[in-house]
Amino acid sequence: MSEPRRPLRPLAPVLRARERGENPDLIERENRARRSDALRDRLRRQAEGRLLVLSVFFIAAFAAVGVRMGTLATSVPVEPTRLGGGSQITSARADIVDRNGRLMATNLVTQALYAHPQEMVDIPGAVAQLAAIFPDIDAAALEARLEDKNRKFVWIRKTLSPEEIQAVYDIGDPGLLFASRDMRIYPNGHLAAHVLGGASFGTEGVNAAEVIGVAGIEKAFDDRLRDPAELDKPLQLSIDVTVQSAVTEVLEGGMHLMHAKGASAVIMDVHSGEIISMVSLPDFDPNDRPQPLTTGDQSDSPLFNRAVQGVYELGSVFKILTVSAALDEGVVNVNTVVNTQSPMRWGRFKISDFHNYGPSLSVRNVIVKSSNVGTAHIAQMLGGPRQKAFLESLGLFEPTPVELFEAPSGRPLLPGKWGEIQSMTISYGHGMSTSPVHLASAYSSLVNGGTLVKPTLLKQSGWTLGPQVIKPETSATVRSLLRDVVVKGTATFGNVPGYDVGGKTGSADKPRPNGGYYRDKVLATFAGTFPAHDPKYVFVVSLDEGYEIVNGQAFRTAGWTAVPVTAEIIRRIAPLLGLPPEIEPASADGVREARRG
Amino acid sequence: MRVFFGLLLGATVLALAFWAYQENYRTREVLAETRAMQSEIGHLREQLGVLKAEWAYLNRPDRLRELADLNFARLGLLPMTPNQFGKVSEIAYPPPPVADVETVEIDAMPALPNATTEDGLPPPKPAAPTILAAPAGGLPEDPIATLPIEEGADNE
Repeated sequence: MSEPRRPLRPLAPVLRARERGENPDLIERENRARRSDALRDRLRRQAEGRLLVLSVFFIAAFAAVGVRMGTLATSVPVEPTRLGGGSQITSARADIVDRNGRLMATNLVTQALYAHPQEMVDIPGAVAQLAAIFPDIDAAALEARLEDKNRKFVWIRKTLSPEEIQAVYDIGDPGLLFASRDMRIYPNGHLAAHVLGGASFGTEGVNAAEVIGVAGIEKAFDDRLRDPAELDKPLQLSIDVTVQSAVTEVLEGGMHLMHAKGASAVIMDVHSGEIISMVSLPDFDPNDRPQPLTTGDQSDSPLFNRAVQGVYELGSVFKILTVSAALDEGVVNVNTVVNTQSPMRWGRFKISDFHNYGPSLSVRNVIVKSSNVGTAHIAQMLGGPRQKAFLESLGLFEPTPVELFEAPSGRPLLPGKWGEIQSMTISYGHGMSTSPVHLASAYSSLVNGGTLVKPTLLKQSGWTLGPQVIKPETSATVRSLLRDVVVKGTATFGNVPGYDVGGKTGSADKPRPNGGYYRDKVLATFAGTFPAHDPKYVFVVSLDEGYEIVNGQAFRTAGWTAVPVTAEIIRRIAPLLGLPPEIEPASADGVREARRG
Repeated sequence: MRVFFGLLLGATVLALAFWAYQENYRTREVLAETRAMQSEIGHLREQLGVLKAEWAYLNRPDRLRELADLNFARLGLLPMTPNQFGKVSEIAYPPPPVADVETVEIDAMPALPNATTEDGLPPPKPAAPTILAAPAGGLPEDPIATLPIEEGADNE
């Protein structure tokens, strides 16, 4: 194309042809033919190019269709599902049930109320009517938020009942809108509130809102409960709702009768470590979880779980621990006579007993009469390192492995230095603070034949046989000692005919925040097992600052406060646990007598 | 021949197009049905959840305890106590079925005297028929009808 255009009748050849007498038109025809040939070639090339492009396009289109058909034919058919409006918030949460499958926590569909202020017709009128429906709403603040021109969206209520939804519909304001919600409900109300904890909303949207656990097992198992793969499987706890209810009722009554400001109870299966019941009073309603205290002592809040978070100097209930270590090591036997001359002096310290029990007692009577001096002497014989190692092997130095969010905060308080005096005071339960669940698992390990149990709130499929902490024979001796405390010792009110209760009382003076101990504030604890000849369950019942007035005199020791309450608890729950009353086997008495003699 | 093949091809294409069209619409219909069913399943699940929650709420121990207290006069329900446990051996041996006098001969029941309860005692005698004497006016057709109805069993 770039060659210069040739004229049809070039002058030189035409002149030459004229000279020769030829027709110059021939030259023009020849040139015309050449020109049209060139044009034809160009058009053909163009057409061929277009055909190529078109064929490539068609091949690509048919190939795409073919590939798509191929993939459809070879892929697994899936049911087409509707996408939830692009919302990625998942509100689903698995149920929580008790050991018998009774519902403890589930979800309900409800509505949340929000407003688009720019679409509202009559803001003051709507606010007045809303205030009539929800008496607790701050009408002035809400009106100010709705009148704010910068706001396009205002949340008004998180959950509504069907009646409230209807009432809001009846206001008829187009700017009041509803958002669907899943809401967590606890049908049993206060029951097992500390175990369940509670839930609230996480990320909130108009289509859904996340339900997240805020405390207790709801928070500890948040991932498991929200795992889409396990939504259909409820989380099964070891708690028995019926037993929990009976324990709560009796403990509540006992707490009021004994004027206590708080109470806790733990019932544990001695073999599996399953916590059948865990009560901490005062409690709360997880459906309407109160705010944490902003001032004062958190341990006075109803949210505080005394059974797990509360670490206390539990007092004489600890004696059996040191004594069983001494028995297991062969340092003493139950008949070894120990010095119980009270007060006992050690350096500038003085250890005294509640009563004076005379110059000496057998180890059995040290436990039965609960002699601090006697236990301190046994601790001296055993020695601090062995005592420390034994208590550590029972898991008393670490927070309990209970599956509660709060469990790690129940870290035992240990003395900085484990000297001889610390060893002596710890032997009778002062100078070291643990939670009731710690004590329950330690007692379970001692009485079940001597194997370590781990406390758990999840239903177990069978017994878990932990490592041996004491010999089975020592375990039998410990059971007989605990039984003797109830038969003729400090816990005679704890005898429940047919259930062979064995246990140890503990009345610990409460420590003052700034050192020293209160004289008139006692944490009374009764810990033990039933039936003592073949333990099934361990209990730890504590009353905080309880007292009973008999003949105008206040009795604060556990034998007067925690023990009768525990006896009533056992009387109520033993039938619920399916334990028929039985007469204590006579042979066990014989064995005990032989060992004593 | 070419015309024939052309017509045949055209007819085939038409038939296939018609079939594809129908399949398309049936698929859409089934999809819509699936969606409706899924949303129905969702609603039913929701209702089931509400019913389960309500069942648990109505059966909460606090409420049952209150109801038992309210209806104590009628039901007399108390917390379970240890003395409510029984043993199988404490249950009386069931009385042997009352033989039909008219059809069973006396010789046909020799096994009964050998039977003993767990305590080694002979089995309790079957309860005597309650109608000892025919009321005046002759035995009525249906003896049960004349049994005295306990009065005042219901007057709480």
